Amino acid sequence: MGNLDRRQFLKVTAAAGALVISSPSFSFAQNGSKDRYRNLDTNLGFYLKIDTNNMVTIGYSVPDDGTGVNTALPMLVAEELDVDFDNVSVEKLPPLYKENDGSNPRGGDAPYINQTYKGHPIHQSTGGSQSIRRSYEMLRMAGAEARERLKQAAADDLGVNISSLNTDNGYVISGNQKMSYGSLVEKAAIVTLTAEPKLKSPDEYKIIGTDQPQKVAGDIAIGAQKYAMDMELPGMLNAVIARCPHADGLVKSYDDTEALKVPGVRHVVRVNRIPEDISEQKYIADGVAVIADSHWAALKGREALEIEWDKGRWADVDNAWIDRNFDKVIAEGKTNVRLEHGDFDKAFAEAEKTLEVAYDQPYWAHATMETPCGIVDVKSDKVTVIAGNQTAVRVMNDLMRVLPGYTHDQFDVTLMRIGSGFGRKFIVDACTEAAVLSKAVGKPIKVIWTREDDLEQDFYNPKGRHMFKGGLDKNGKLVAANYFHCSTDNDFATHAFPAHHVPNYRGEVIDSKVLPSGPWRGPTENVAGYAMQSFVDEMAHLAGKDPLQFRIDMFKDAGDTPAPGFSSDIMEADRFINVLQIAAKNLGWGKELPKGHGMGIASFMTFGGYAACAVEVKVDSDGSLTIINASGAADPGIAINPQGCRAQIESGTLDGFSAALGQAIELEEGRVINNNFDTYQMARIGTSPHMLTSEVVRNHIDPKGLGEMSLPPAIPALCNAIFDACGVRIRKLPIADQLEKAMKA
Amino acid sequence: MVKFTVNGEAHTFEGDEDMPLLWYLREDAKLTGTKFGCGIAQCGACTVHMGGIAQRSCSVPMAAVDGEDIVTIEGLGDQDRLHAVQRAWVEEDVAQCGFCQSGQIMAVASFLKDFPNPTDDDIDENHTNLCRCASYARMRIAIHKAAAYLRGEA
Repeated sequence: MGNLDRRQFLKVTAAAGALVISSPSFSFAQNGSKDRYRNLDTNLGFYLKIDTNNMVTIGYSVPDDGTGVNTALPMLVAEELDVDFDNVSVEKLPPLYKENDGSNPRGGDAPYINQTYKGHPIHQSTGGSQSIRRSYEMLRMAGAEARERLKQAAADDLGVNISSLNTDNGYVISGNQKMSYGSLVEKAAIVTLTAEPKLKSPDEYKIIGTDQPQKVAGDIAIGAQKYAMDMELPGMLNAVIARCPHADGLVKSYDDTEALKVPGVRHVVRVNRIPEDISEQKYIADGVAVIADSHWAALKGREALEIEWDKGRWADVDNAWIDRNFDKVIAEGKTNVRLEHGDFDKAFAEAEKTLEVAYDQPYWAHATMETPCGIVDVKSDKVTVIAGNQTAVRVMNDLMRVLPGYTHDQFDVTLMRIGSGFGRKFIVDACTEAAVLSKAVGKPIKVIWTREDDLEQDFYNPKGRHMFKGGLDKNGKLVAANYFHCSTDNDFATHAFPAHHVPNYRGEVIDSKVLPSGPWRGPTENVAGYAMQSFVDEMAHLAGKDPLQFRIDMFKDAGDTPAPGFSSDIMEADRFINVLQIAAKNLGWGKELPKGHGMGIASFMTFGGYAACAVEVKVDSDGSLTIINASGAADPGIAINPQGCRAQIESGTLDGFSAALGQAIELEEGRVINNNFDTYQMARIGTSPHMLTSEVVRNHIDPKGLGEMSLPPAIPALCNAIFDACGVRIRKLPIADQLEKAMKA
Repeated sequence: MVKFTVNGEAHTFEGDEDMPLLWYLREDAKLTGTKFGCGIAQCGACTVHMGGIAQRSCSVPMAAVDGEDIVTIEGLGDQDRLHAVQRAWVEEDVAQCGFCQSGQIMAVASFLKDFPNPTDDDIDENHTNLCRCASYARMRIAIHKAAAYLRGEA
């Protein structure tokens, strides 16, 4: 781990109280340079800048919210380009978009779409675990083209055929001659290539597949890394908005007299709900904005506002209401059958042993570490935007809705590193609010959401009830299963295990929407994993079989099964068995455990990647829970940066535990009442296991993604371990004090 | 008027003394390494040192800063002189999105003064900063490594 031991020029001295190390090798930003976040001055294609002293800077087009694309995407370019990755610097590219010319089928009728490179849309969205999958071929092509151009430039200079040349670590080699890329780059930009550049085969890789630390790690550690919340524009004012806390409620009346008296407050502006149609999901809440010289003055101004709210159509809603509504909708039985094969009803009626069970899970907030924020300056002929959003073109496309009449060449958009996304930052609401306010007062506006705003105005991961009926035959084989998901949104894990692994299956869903919802880490999978893998575990126990072997046997029996989705076609049984066995082995599955300890295992496919988690817990006689050890295994296809892959396995696992242990949105009168971290419980290091192993499978299969994969199996693995430890089955999340209560009973 | 130092430099403040130190640092002093996470001292993203001790600056009003010596992440170390915690953080590749990490590093630097040879239980009970990306696995390793560096080992 870490590259320091490879450096010869490191000096280490002891000084009072702290070890002082000179470390010139880490990549640090130019202090205070805003240019770092602006246009990469490329000189060889979209992605590259090579200086005359052979320093290479590679741009990356996908905003980084912690998944590591800042390093992994440049690795793809560097591999084919053939440079020493230790000496590569990375920079975020500006958005590369064009007017929608219909060339991208996924563009729909949006005004702008991604630019393309050789027919491939340049991927500029972090989310859906898509970044590597959608960039793998294209970025290697870009690196290969640059390499061939440099060789052609050298060939022209030397008067030789390009086929006689090689490259090595930033140099073109011709016999005994070495020419640096830096000396060739000007000519390389204008040569004509006569052949399509060839890509390496994976067994030739020198960079892809090696452990690389994050290029931005140095900046982050010294507080030099900037995010949208840190930025400023000259003449900027700060806005804090009082948004109706009741879902789909409105401002009835307001009095800004006292707010305008607060020193520093300049304006109070009414913000109208978007869309106006109350039956459509909220994008921007109805509210009142206070605009001031400083964020603090704006906050104080907001406190001084007097607002009367129209509580709207959800004024009676709390979680109990939603549960009763689920009861009602379930009883009506008008479901949407998404998958059916065999004859579930017959097989269930004839089953040797049966189980009927339901799992409930609450709304989860995103609670991104950096709350939603954005800076927009609307001038008559130019719109300047500083955004921390996940999808480049959505920033322009969504702002166009409130800024009709501007064209794309009038937008100057900077995409910052994101202080966590998890799907929340797809939505460009903070920038939209800033645009509305900037247009209203004619100044650059920074909107910062407080944590309360964030937890009250989220697009939550849906709440749901997952009902199962399962039937075993006399050999303890799962032969009949019915999965009925009642959700507050229209999501269903149609093809997830064991849908195609049970001969008689019906999967059906019904939705009953309340709060605004949106994608969270592993949308649908994050709750289906908990439910389906708990159900499979309960059936395994009912059959008297080892939960690991029960799953492996089902995978073996069914073989490869269909898994159509936007990242996958099939679910390969061998790859699932492999990750299960790795997770189990790394945990020590099957070893003798001390009293009160238990182990659980689970697996899930998310966006084409295979993941498994095995957990060991201890439950004391008073019900207190300790997560002792966890092991996550994942197979996302070829691991570009294994060190980064392991980070996502660790993160997904611990994030899953955090959600399962304590997270639940609480409602009263349609408003979220646990609106900060004192009442919305998220895990600290103290509830995380002391031991955690992460392993990414190494293969050469075309990559999928890994950002979301490890969370869905982590939650059920934890719950399955709890059952193994103390016999209490977690049928409702969060775990919270259920064990304490169960032990008292 | 409030008089204090930040990273060794003299500062004065004459505005609203209710304002938390966090916003002075970010907006007046332009030291944006210290982050806003919750405003109620629950997450620790705003952690600075006051008199060498970790404090959550979102909950320290300017009135309480008079006469104090503040150190922010920018003053803990820089690219030419990393603090041991910063070094361990980079070597172990702890950060994911990175937004919480200034606060994590400041909190750990202070924690290690009180617990120079911490057990995992010491860490569990005393380090309460939130990391939304849940980078806790590598964080734990980095804390032990930083402790070893500060003890003059490794």
